[in-house]
Amino acid sequence: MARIDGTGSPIPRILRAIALVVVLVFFLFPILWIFLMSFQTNETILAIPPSLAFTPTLINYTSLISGHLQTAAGSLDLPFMHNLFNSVLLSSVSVLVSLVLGVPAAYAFARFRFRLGEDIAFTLLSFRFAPPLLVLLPLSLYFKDLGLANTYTGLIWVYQLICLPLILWIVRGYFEDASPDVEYAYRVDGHSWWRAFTRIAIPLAGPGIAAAGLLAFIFAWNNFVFALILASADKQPVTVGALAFVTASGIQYGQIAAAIVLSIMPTLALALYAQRWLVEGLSLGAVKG
Amino acid sequence: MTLALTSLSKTYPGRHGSSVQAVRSLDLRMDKGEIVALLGSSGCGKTSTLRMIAGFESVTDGGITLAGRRIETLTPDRRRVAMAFEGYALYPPLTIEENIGFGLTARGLDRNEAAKRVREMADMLEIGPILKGRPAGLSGGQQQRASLARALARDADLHLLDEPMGQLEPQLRAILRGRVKAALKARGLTAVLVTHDQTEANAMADRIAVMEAGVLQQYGAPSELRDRPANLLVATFLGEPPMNALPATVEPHGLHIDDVAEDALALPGVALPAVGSKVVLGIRPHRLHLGAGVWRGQVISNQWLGDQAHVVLALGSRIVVAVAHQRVPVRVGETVPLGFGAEHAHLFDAASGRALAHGTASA
Ligand SMILES: Nc1ncnc2c1ncn2[C@@H]1O[C@H](COP(=O)(O)OP(=O)(O)O)[C@@H](O)[C@H]1O
Ligand SMILES: [Mg+2]
Repeated sequence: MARIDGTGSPIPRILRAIALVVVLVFFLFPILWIFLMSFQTNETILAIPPSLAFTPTLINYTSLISGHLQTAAGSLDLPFMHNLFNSVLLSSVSVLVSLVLGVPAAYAFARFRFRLGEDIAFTLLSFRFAPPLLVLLPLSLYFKDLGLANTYTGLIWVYQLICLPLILWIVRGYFEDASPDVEYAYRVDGHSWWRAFTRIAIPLAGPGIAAAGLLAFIFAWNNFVFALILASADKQPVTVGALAFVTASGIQYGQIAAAIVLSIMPTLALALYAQRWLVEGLSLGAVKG
Repeated sequence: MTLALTSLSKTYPGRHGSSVQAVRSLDLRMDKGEIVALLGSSGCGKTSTLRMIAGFESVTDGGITLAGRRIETLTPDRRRVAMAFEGYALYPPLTIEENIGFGLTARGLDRNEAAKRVREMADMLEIGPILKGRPAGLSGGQQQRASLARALARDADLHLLDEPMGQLEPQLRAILRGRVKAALKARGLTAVLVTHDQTEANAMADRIAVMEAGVLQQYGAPSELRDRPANLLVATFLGEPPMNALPATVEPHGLHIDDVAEDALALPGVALPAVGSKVVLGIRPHRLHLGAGVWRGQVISNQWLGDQAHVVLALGSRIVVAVAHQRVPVRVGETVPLGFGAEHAHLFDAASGRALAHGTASA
């Protein structure tokens, strides 16, 4: 009988290894290429034929960090580091706010049946599939009136459209999976509702909360259109800021590559840090099916 | 009186506007130090009753008084009850020891006292060796005992035990029944024991409440339920094998068993209802004896179970079971006389199932 776990005959094992390599190359090659590009000047990047042998240079990184973009037409000021800071700020505060609002809400939706409960939960989810431009036009008008246009507060508020539904729906599933009897057992021991929630329910849903938080962070980080329309340069994240690399004198490939590498870093770091809980979280979700 | 349930009802809203009436107007009173078993088949509303007492389910109607306090609107943490859950409900990240000790220190017991209590419970329920393990690594029976230990370790006005031994092996169950009962009695605890196992109810409970379809059928001491069942349902639910139930009609000279071509039976000592009444005659299998009597039955099967014989017979178009404590020398297909003493007869109303009269042996 054929074994699929690869411990049997060597042929499936070799085939599996080849398949893995193909998949890895397919997905990782662009990233590797960009990583290499970020250490080259525009000239070596555009050289024909392309060569893997080049003298690495940190010029792209130093100009990004110092904020002065060197182009053929001269020096250009570029607030990339500020954009990066905006991305970190907007994404992390948005996720934190979403967690604070979404986790208790998810718990309520999982534990209590109330009138219109499903409708409210579904409406929140529907924000995820409404085209952003649909909400952006009225929002940008309201934001002007409310004085929220071009503020971090305003952006974090709209980012809830991205983060809150994700967190609500993922975490809700985890709460639904955990038997309420475990909380009841804690409650008959003399603990309040709030303590059962914080001491029992949240830790049991921990992996799910970590997974949802990370996903929400990635979605918030990659958002483009909200910040493009609702904020001006000094509040914009890297996704919008990167537009500035397309200059009158051409496209600065090396600097774009360096910018991409820098802007992947925070998400990557977070993902690696959260990996422990994440794997457990995502696989628990898979088992739940 | 420590617990009083008055007209307690629970209706669950179902999908599409339907609803399930899990408990209907339940009245139950129990005294301090008493063990009461809620006995009934699966789905009859036993767990729902417990969960209302513990405060996990709202009360649709009626009231609950515990130790002099109205508790039906209190939150679970303020009801002073302890519970062993049907699904164990152990906290996965904690060891068994911590699970049991958890509620004790929370209730203000000092550490040494709590540790001692945990030890006692572990010894009683034979879970000493698994105290350091976590719930996920344990069998259902071990988790169930841990859950029971957690409930019994607590001091509370009322202990609610929901099928606390259902997952145990028969031998262990028999041992623990006695130990748990002794422990409850020694500490003067009051307990409601939910079970669908009548042996467990008989062995542990001072009084048994038989429920069916959300309705309390009878509430009384085990002997009372056995000797004077309030209706046909209780009569056939208790006892193994179940009571023989024969539809019959009251005639001027006694009782005529429907579909059995024999003379009417005179039942001395049993007050028969009006002539023409449709009734059901109930006789427990071990009160039916073979070899003598007014009936002729044809043997369908004859099994020796090691300590008793079960003989199934066709009586006209009815089937009856007789139990004897020695081997019975009858063969399948043979026709044998059988009968019973009128003092062991029970009469029930055919339409409502309500008990009408019991033979003098039940007095
Ligand atoms: N949370 C619930 N929602 C809807 N129906 C329920 C719920 N809990 C129990 N029921 C129904 O109520 C009836 C009684 O259930 P339960 O009290 O668990 O019975 P038992 O413990 O005697 O087996 C059953 O028909 C069951 O399907
Ligand atoms: Mg039950």
